[in-house]
Amino acid sequence: MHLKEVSVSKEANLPFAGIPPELSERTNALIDQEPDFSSLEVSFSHQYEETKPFTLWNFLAPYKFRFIFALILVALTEMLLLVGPYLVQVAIDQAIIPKQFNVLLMVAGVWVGSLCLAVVISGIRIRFLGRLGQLLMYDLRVRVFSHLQRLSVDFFTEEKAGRLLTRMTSDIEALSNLLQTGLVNLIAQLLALAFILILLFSFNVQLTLILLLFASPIMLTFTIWFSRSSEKGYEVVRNKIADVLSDLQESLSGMRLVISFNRMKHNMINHRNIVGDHRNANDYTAKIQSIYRQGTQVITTLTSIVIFIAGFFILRNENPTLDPEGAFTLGTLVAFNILVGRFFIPINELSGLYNEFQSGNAAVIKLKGLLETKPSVVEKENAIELKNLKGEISINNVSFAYDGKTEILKDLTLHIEAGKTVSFVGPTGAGKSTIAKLISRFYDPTKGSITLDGTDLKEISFSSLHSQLGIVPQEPFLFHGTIRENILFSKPEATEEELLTAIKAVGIEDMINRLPEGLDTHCHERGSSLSSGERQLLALARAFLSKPRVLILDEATSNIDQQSESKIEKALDALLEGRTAIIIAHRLATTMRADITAVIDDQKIVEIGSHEELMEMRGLYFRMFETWEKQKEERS
Amino acid sequence: MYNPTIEGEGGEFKDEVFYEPVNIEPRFSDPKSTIDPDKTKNWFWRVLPILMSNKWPLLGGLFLMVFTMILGVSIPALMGMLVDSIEPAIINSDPKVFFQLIILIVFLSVIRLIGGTIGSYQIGKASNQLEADLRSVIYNHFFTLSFSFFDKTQTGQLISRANSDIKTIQMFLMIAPMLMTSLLSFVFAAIYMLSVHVFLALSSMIAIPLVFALSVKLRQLTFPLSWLTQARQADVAVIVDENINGQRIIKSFAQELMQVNLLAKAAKKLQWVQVRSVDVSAFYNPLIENLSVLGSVFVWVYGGWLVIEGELALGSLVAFNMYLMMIQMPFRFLGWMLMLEQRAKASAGRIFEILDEKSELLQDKDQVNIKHMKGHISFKNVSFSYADELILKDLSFDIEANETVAIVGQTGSGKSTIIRLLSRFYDCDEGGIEIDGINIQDLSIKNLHHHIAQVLDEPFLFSVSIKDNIAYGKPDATDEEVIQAAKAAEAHEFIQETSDGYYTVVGERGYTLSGGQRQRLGIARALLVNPSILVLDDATSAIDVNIESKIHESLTRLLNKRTTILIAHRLSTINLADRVIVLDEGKIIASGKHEELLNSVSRYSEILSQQAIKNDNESQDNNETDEQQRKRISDLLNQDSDAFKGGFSE
Ligand SMILES: Nc1ncnc2c1ncn2[C@@H]1O[C@H](COP(=O)(O)OP(=O)(O)O)[C@@H](O)[C@H]1O
Ligand SMILES: Nc1ncnc2c1ncn2[C@@H]1O[C@H](COP(=O)(O)OP(=O)(O)O)[C@@H](O)[C@H]1O
Ligand SMILES: [Mg+2]
Ligand SMILES: [Mg+2]
Repeated sequence: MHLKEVSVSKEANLPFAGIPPELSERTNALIDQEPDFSSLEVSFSHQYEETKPFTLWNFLAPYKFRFIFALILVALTEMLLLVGPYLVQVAIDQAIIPKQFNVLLMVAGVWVGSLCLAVVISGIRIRFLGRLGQLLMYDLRVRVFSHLQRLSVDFFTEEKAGRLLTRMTSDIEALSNLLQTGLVNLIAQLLALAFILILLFSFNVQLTLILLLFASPIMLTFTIWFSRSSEKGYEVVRNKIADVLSDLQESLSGMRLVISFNRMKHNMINHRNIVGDHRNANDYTAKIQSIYRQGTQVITTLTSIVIFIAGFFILRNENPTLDPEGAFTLGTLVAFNILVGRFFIPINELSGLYNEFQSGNAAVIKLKGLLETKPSVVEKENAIELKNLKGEISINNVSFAYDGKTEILKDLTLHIEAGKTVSFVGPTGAGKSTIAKLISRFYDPTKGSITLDGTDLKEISFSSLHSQLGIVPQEPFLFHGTIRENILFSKPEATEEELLTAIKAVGIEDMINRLPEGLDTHCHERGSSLSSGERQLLALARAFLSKPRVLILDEATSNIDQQSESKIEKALDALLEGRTAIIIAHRLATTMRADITAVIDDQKIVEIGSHEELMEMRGLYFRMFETWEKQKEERS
Repeated sequence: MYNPTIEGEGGEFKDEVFYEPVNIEPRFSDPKSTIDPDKTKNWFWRVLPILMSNKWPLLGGLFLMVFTMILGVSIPALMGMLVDSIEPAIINSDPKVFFQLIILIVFLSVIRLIGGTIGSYQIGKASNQLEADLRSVIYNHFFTLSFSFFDKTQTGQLISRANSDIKTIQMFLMIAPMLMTSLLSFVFAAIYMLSVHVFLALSSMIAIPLVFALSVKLRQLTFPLSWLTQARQADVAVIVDENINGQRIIKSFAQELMQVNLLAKAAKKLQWVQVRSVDVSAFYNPLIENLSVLGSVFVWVYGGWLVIEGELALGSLVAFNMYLMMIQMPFRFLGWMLMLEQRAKASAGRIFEILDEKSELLQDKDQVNIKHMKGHISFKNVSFSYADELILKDLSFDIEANETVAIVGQTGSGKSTIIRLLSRFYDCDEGGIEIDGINIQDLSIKNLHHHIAQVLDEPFLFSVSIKDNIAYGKPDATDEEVIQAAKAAEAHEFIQETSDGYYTVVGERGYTLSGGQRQRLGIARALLVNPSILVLDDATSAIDVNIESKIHESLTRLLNKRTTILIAHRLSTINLADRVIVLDEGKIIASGKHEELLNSVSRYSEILSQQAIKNDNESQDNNETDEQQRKRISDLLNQDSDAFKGGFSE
């Protein structure tokens, strides 16, 4: 495993991390119990699996019997919860008023028994459903993440990284909530409502009708109003907090610019405005919640009052002597009132569940969208495993447009013999990097084809292509982890000796020796404490380690001094003996080392040949060389 | 192409001592107070000044909450009386008491609704205001910190402090008053119950300590679990985030499977800890919930017996039960609140760690402001280290006003560090830097930055429009000025080709622009503010020679009236300078004209690799050591590539 997990205790070397000591003991004890999953292996294939569309139903279908079992448990718990209010009525009418103490004892016995049963059954239910839910979530995380690996580079350019991250975090969390509490609760509350209504009807039909016709509509309207407004409110809060966070993130990342352009005041006011909007959004939800919380209590109390008044008149008409044996008794009235409180709980809960359901459903839709996105660059079924690549590349009449409209490359043809070093020069924005991306198959050409050793790129399996073809981009990407892990990224199984060779080849052994923990120094913030040239050197070491048969350097040495560069080039010469290389650079010195140079401009190759040949052509290359020489003379 | 606004001293704001652009209307008043600087105080007292800067909603809300709580406590007693008032006699003749009670209850409920709503809303508002103020205070504080602070912290960490830690405090301050009042209601309820029947009251509360103990135990178990859950969730998020940003690297080294395995492990750990949480709550939650009911069972049995014996009215028994429910609530939440307090305290500690961090940069000594900076820079015996190792050693050099100087040195020799010291991102450990004869530590920071503009090696673009990016240092610049700057940086043409021209929003990290295009935007941004000192730190590394030479043309036109520092590796760039300063291992080894240095200083030609090029040009053989090195590396590199050797016959 090359990347260290961001483990809790590992971060302690930063002064600003961790938890207070009084709490850390228990957390550390827990971490010690955590099993080691390091031998866990999952499978992955680039093939896009055509399964059923991702809907809640399809997702849960394989587990339907487990869910039915869970539902039975839920129904049992809900029934047990109603034993209490029923027993209260029995106690008043059959024990207290008729003064039957042993009936009272019996009631107590049954009640305690039902409580014990409730403890056991709901314990089992929580455990069972929780485990099932977590298993589903694990599967889903791996499934969505695997799909992300299948998607092509264009997808990651278009989608905001932050938005993709929420697919894997908050969307899956929302779905998890829906599964573990939402769905079951929904059914539980509906059941509870039904049971309570049955019990209420058995107590008294008139009172129940009053409850249903008078109080329920009010509570229901109130609850619906609340869930609508709070949903709207939270939506605004979510948007505003996203604004706050992205402003914060950008200010911290661009801190040097903020300071050096004296933008502090502007940014402070701007942030205050954003924070203020967020506060207003919070105030709105606080208002809604205050009204709702107090409102439900008052509605419950007032409903009790109405029931009492109605009960009073019923008693007066039907049972003025308060005979406990009568059709409607005082005990019934009291028990009824206790149940009224219970009756409103499911209604309130259902409103919360409605929101949960909404966001769970939204998450399902978003995940479905992601899982159904097809990669634009696909690996063919039964793709060829191309072993022992020679490195002959041929680009045949290739045209390409990122957006399908504006052509960046037009009818480009180029043949690179195995073992040759080719350099691309040309104005910025001419499409040099684009060719490199096409050869690495980050994109497929819109027209024409590219072959490697005579095989069309589209026929070759991704793993055999990429393990023999390495590209080093201009902006090196360092992962969270140590320098060692970052270099080993291209070949996790490499030996220490190979690693050291790669490091020596790019000449960073001195730099690494200077670092406090050598190779095991953490790359802070994607390597911000290294100079930009040093980061490029690390990226080069990474590429050297994997010893690709075809190496593409896309301005990979632009921030490196010439001495280091020529050292690297020597190492490269050694490395490249018999290997194919494509080097994109703006330094003529680099270009002059190449076997062939292709000058790219105006969507195509305008000139091609060795340095001498190009000079003779007296074209764009010649002019570039002139510019360079002229500047030299002018100055000196 | 002659452009008066960015040439020389033509800019409007050049007459100001410093230009601090504000192009936005404040819509909210600034925080009125900040935290108490006394580090010895308890966290709550340190936050109190901010809370108190907005005290009326808070105090008013608290008063209303207590008031409505008292009303709320009286309702069950009235309900009990209502039950008792239903007697055969009353039912038949005189229901007056019954209806009086009803009117009273309705009246109290309505008051409670109004009071309670306003009260809890005000408390919510106060806590939201506190949150907003803390957010602003901490954001503003970030700008006063030195860069060595940011070197030892991670952005993610800072963001979580400036966000979730503040949220934890806000939560606590919103919920604490509610729990406090409900705790107070316990007192009233207990008094009522005791006044009705001492022994019944005491024995009905038997389950409460047990419920309390269990819920404290539950919270104790939950804290590490929820904490670890968060940590594991963060692990998953970090992996996904890096995976998304590093997707090209992952693809180009075919490491997808390894990434999936990495995630699977993290997800498995998350699953493990969440299952643990499930198990804990499966054990404790049903127990706590049903144990509370046990008190009711006891009340009905024992109380029922008392009613049978005639010692208690049925209504009192009903009221008793309602109170029992009421008093169990605060105890169930007390454990929760203790944990919230612990967390709020920890969060506050983490926030204070940032706010207590002081930087020397912004001390209000007698600060000098230069109105028209000439741009004479002189480094006097400057030494500097980021950590232990000295990066710059006793460095002294001068750059004349209006001079163009190139700093040349190996990668990692400290070139960018010199620039960082000059703009006071860091302060020198020893020695000093003077501009126009004034030590930069005596200059006000804003004045310094007003005169210096730099283009860094990796141009950072904000996710706003191209125009706003160029006008970052001068948001009130006219379109004309922006276009002029873009033209000078040879960026105008490609900007016009983008979908919305100057109004195209540059996506995250500007992925759809090529490297050279981004660098040109960075140059335009610096040119627009018309600085007295312009620094280009490897700012044209991704730009081809032709365009570079055009940029240089406009630069030479503009350079004459300002001091320019160039850091570059390319001869084409170095050639632009009047003078070259050669930096090696933190020391200056030479300074002079490029051609002279090339002939006289061997280290210089080494750094520029002039030999190597000559060798290649004249097709001379590499010297022996090179050849040996080459062979050795080649041997090593090919050692274990047997797998590939088969198809490789040369
Ligand atoms: N992902 C992308 N989406 C859209 N346009 C792109 C993307 N990447 C590059 N371009 C555009 O394609 C053109 C060629 O870019 P590139 O190949 O990076 O040029 P260079 O020759 O400098 O390497 C530029 O105009 C650039 O703006
Ligand atoms: N923030 C930092 N913390 C610690 N070391 C740093 C930091 N920034 C740069 N360094 C180290 O200081 C040395 C000089 O860096 P720099 O000035 O960026 O070099 P360059 O001459 O390439 O611009 C390098 O070895 C680099 O690793
Ligand atoms: Mg490019
Ligand atoms: Mg640098």
